[in-house]
Amino acid sequence: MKWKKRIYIWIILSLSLQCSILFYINHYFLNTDSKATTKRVNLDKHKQTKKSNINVPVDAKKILVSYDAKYLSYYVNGELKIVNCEDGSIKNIEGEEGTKISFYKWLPDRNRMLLVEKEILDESSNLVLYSYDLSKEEKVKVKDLSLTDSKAEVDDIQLSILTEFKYIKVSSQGERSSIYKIGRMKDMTKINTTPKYVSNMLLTRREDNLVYEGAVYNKIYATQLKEFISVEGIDKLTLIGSDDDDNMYVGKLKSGLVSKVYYGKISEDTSKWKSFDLKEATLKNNLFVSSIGKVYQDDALEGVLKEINSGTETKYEGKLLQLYNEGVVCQVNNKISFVTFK
Amino acid sequence: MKKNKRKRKIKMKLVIIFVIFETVFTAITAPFIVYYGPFENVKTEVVGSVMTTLTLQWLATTFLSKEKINQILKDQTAISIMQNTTEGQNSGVQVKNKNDNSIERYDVDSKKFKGYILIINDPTRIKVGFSSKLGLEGERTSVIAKTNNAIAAINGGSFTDKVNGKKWAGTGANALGVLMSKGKNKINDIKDENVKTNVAALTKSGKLLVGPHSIKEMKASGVTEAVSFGPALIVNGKKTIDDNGGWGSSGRTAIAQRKDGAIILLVIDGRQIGSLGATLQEVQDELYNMGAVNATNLDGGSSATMVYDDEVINNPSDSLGERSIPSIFYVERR
Repeated sequence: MKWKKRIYIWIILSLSLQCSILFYINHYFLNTDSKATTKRVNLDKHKQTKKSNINVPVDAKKILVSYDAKYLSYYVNGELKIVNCEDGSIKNIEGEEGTKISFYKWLPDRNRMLLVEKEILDESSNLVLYSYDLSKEEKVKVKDLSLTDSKAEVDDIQLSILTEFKYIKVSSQGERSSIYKIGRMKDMTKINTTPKYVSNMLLTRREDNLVYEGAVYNKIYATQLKEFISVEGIDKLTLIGSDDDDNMYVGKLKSGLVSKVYYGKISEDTSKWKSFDLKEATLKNNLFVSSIGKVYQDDALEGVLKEINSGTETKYEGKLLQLYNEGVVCQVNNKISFVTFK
Repeated sequence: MKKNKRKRKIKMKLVIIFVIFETVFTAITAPFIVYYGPFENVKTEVVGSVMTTLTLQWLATTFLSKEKINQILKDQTAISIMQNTTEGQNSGVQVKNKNDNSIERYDVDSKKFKGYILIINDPTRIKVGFSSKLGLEGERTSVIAKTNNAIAAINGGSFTDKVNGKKWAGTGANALGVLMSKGKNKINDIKDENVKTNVAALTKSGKLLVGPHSIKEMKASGVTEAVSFGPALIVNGKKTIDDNGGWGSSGRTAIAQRKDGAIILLVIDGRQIGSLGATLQEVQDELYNMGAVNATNLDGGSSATMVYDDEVINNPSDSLGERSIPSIFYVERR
């Protein structure tokens, strides 16, 4: 076959294929004359059911609950399971073929989670971010992270449901922490951080300002600030939490324990921040900040969670797992129970 | 033996060259066929949709001049602007079902979108709700609805998406135009009482006002609930859009009223697999087929949300779900 003839045929092939596809789209798919069908649907009322105690398998790992504790999640044998706390039903959340869910996080105000899927066997080990709606059981792809490092793992995600910015922290053996920002329009950029290794990070809700803590020297930075946050000349500070008004709560660290808590807005000078001492110095993990700005301290030995400002105590059995919007989630052996705040 | 191996090698090479040629050739010629060819619907659809995104505008601007793009977009809206007759608007509407507490739901299924309709027979149940932190942050439709103990709700009016000059960073904190609830002005950007702007408003007696109205006119008509948005899609029983509307396909929210006063709420899913979205004309036609005599477009895109009995019944297109917004229309629980 002569090349000239060959090229002609190929050109005609491409053009006719394009035109037929475009013709179909133009005349059938996009044609506004084509009718939509409208069907009457029953409106049924759903009933509220009470929360029951949940049993989890002995080897369940990373047990978390959604913001209102309607759902509980955990890993078993590397598989992600979700329990409906109202009716006790259990659902398996699977990644796409050949992948496993390597990280997940519940959104702070709705029954939806962000999932990170990682290919199991492939060397390229691409990480893909998904958003999963529990009530609709629908998974939507957010972004292909397309990182070059095959050993990279996501270890934290912070997001704002108002600005919809999502910050993904990725770590890799021996490499510096990498933080990626994904916006509402799914655009992704890499964030430069001053410290090499970042431990805790929190995102303000109303504006795009990520607050993060250096893992080695415990200095706290913000993406919109040039210098690290300095409070009364204290050497080491750790990030404890934030509230819905974008107040950041930091703890004065001494010998690994928090003895005093400072809080205020990142945009303000820290001299304007408020503070209070803790009666007993404690690990950062025993301190919690709620969305309305209540600070709680956990006394694991006594099984009591104390709200610092009012002194109100909530007693619980076993180990404290986390707080949810109305109370505390605790675990005794393989039984999970919910205790509302006093 | 060797001859066969050589033949196969040549065939493989041919296939690879064929694939590369077709890919490159198609990629080069496709834009020209779409933008300069005879497929009008595809062209306006692509330009309309692409120009509303942040990251994909180059798909149009690389091949078409700005004037040409504006022409394609404008061609569609010209007709809707001309028709803004307000004389005797609502004269055809008679609120007949004041104490009928029933609500009907309909689902719409078309090749390119999925939609949801709620028909509320008593229009005096429709109110405007707003974020409890107006000015600081927006709230989700389902949250504002719950605060107002509403049985149903849809997202409402317009708001600014910019924060500190940065686009797409908006939190839904600030409504634009008018925002009136229970007769009180929560927001009013419009300083001149005589200037007409597109609104979606309800009078005390339950009549829906759509299209351009001035503050003065709304006061005279006894308006108690209002948000800013447009364009009006049906006015006094007449359709306003003759062509697809020029805004491409997207998630849509709309409110309309039938001759007997019943209010129609419509939300269409967009920007997702399974529901590309609807054009303004498709929204108009669907409402017209449901008997609407007055109808207006409300904020669509990622804000398009419909709630019934504390449950979001559509599929908002943002990856985190419902968008935080400043205003909604809700239906009082009875």
